[in-house]
Amino acid sequence: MVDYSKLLNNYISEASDLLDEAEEAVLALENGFEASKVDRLFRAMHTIKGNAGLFDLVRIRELAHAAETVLGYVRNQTITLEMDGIDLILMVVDRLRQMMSDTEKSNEVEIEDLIEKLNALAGETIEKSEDSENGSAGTVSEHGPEGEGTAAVTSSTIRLKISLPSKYVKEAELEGRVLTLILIEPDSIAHMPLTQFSAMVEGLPGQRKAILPVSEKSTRIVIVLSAAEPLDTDSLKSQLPADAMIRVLDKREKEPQQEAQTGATQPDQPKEDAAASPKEATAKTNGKEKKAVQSGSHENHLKVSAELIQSLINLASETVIARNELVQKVQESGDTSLQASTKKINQLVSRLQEEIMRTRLQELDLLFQRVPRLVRDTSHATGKQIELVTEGGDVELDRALIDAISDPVTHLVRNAIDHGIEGPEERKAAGKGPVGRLELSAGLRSGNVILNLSDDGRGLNYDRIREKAIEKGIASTEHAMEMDHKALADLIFLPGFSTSQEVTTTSGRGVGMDVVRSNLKRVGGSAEIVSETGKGTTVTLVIPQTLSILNCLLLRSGDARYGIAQANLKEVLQVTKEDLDHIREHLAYELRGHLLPVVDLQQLLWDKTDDEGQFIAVVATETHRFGLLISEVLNSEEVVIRPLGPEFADVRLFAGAAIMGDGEAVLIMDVASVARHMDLDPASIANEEIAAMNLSDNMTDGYLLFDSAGYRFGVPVGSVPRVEKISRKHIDKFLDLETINYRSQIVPLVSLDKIYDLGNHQRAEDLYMIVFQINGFQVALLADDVFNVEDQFQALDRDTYSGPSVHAQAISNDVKVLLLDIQDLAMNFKKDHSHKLKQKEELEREKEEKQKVESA
Amino acid sequence: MANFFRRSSTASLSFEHTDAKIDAAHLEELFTDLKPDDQTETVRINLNELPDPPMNILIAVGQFAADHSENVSIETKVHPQTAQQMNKINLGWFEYQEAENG
Repeated sequence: MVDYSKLLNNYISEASDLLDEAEEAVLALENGFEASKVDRLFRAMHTIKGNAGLFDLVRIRELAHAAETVLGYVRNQTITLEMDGIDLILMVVDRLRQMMSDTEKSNEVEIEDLIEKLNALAGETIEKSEDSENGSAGTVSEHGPEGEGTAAVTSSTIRLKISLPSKYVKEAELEGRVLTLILIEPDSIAHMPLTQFSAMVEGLPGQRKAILPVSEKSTRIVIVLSAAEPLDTDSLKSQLPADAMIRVLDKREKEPQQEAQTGATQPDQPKEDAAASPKEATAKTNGKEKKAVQSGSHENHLKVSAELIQSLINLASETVIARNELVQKVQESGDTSLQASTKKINQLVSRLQEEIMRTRLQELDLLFQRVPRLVRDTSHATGKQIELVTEGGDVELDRALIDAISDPVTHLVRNAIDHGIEGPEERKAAGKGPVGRLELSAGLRSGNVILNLSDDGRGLNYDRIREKAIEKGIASTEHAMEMDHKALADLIFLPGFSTSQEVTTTSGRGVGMDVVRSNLKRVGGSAEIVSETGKGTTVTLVIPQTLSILNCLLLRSGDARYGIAQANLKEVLQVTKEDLDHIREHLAYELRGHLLPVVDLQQLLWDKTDDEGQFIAVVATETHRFGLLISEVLNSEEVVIRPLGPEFADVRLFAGAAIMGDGEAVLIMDVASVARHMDLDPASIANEEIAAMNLSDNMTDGYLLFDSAGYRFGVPVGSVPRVEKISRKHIDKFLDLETINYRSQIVPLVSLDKIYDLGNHQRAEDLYMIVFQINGFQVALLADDVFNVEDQFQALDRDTYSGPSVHAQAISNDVKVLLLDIQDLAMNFKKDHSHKLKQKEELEREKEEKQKVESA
Repeated sequence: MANFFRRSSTASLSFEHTDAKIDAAHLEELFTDLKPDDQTETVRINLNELPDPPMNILIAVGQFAADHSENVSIETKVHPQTAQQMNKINLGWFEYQEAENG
């Protein structure tokens, strides 16, 4: 008994894939004719039509048939598919999709509008074909039974360009012969035995070259006859069935005429050898495709229902949990023989689980192939010109994840075109080319798929975002002014802060950026945005390659166990409390010359247990790198991640929970969310690293030593771009601030004698200034004398406090040196000076007002 | 009557002498069944029982070959008498494909 519904489901699934393929092929045709694409498109319609008949899907069959007819002409290159035609075929694809989505009601869907347009296009095709053939050598002129009732109608409606193997055309051309092609309808010879047909053919004049099928679409056959002169068609007709058509390919006489016509601007005109050359092109492409098909044919593919795979995954998940429990119990038992067997089971279960997870992986092309259509439609709607570049379509991702990111990616693409990429005029005004570039790329890193969507548009308008943040009460004016671009860009992921409403004027589309992030979050991924005003925006989506089972490092913080994905874990360090530095109110650890921000997990999770962190788990995401201070490292384990219930929807620090072998639930940390929660900024990490250079990196590069007011100081030589000798008279002083005009810039001068109150110090006529670039502004230290660079000190003391902005004190050549934290010093100087200026201004104002009152 | 079967990676269609008058609908049905699926690597068409086959069967075989010979291997077996007749009139169904790809 045939399972009809199963067959129908298979048909719908296959048709859906074919429609995706068809859409991709149509879009490719926008860039010009490509035989392989037309073939794919044609075959897609042909297959959809053919199989629709089996299920009585009459309207699907009719529509696919009408499209197939037009595509047959396109394939024969009788017409070129212009923009209107491409739009029409896309509409057909959409309508077929709609009908496929509900096959039961597909026979009620209106298709007449499309059929009418397709027929009109097919009609134009015939006219165009006939026009172009008049007097054109290299194409087939007709001597068919015109005016003979039904046969004449048949002749005009089925007019096909016959594509002959090029060897016949070339031979005829070289030998100066005429080819006569006889088309025979199969019905007229259907029951004719081969011997009878053979006798008929043998009676024909001329040299018989071949008997061939006309095309893959048609079941007509063509007899190719070659002769020195055109054959007498009347005589031929008498020997053939009544509805046979005769066409003559005569390249000898019409050569000059053809040359004359080639010069004319008739793009739709079939070119010389048009009958052969397109087929040659097709053959080359097909050759490649054939190779691909052949190589693929060695693999056996089975269609398995998604439900069955999901059921296998669930079973694998349960098996992993049971395996973990077993492993734990066997280890506790201390039975070595059991332990050996368990180890084997352990490995096999891991492999089994990996292989099962692989069954769900599909190439991202599944998603990427929808993007060209989206880009096309959106760019048409907005009047923008977009060049789309996709890369990494072969990267594999869990099918469920592809579905989960489909909407976010659609939204991001629309967003980029709607709001990011400017119109041609605006682009020109901005000095850009008129065509915007949209790049969608995917790559695989540390078990995550990294999806980047970049545009070269106008970028985010940070001032507008700042204004809106203040207006919406998201940030105070002061806070908003302090927010850097990264923090501002992050605001657009907040609910109700969609770019469509806030940054540009185009209306919204339903899915906001907050939904993009929350959708990603739901599947354990993350979304980040980097944008440069005027230059473009890049949105990075990080998605775990598979769901459910995760390699985790289990750790203890306080009394509780937690998990961190191994993909995020870089290393684990054993530390003591003294190893940790405090930078402002944050914890940091000096790791190989760089300051690593450290998050105390106990503090983060409000765990009051009196248990000091002894380890730092160094974790990294695409944008952040930091340490988690933990109490103990337990073990590495594969766990099955379960989503937290809706009650925990607002708890963003965890990716989910896992049930361990002993039955206890363990929360899995979402490292990216921790970084966001702690407001760790990649830019600030970079700054911290600069600060760290003062003490660590420059221990290898060395310190530049100098004297000021009789004291010796050291600054990291790596942070000194320049040392200049200056004359005291060039120093300007205004409101207690000393400055110097240095390379057309006013550079504030920092006198250490004033900062550290080193007493009245008489400056020499000639001085040195050590110039620094700190956080975008220049500042210079005044020095009486500059010495050597020192990288080895006799003694180094970092622990004893020696004063503000002093990192450490050291001894070099028996002289005490104060090693300065130049960044801290410069920032404090800037702050103090602004404060002093304000105070002074206020005093001046008070003084003026007092004087006014007195004089009045 | 013609019989069709599919086993593993091979699909086979054999015509018998009674098929000399086969109608168009039945023929179309047979060749629809013969269409290669994901697993098909070889299609065998046996015309050995028909020394003087009707043209509709030969056209259908030619059409099938044109449609599918790129993706699967098509093996056609004909009666020696048929082969002789086909050669005599250059009825070369597969020449079309070979010429194209060559």
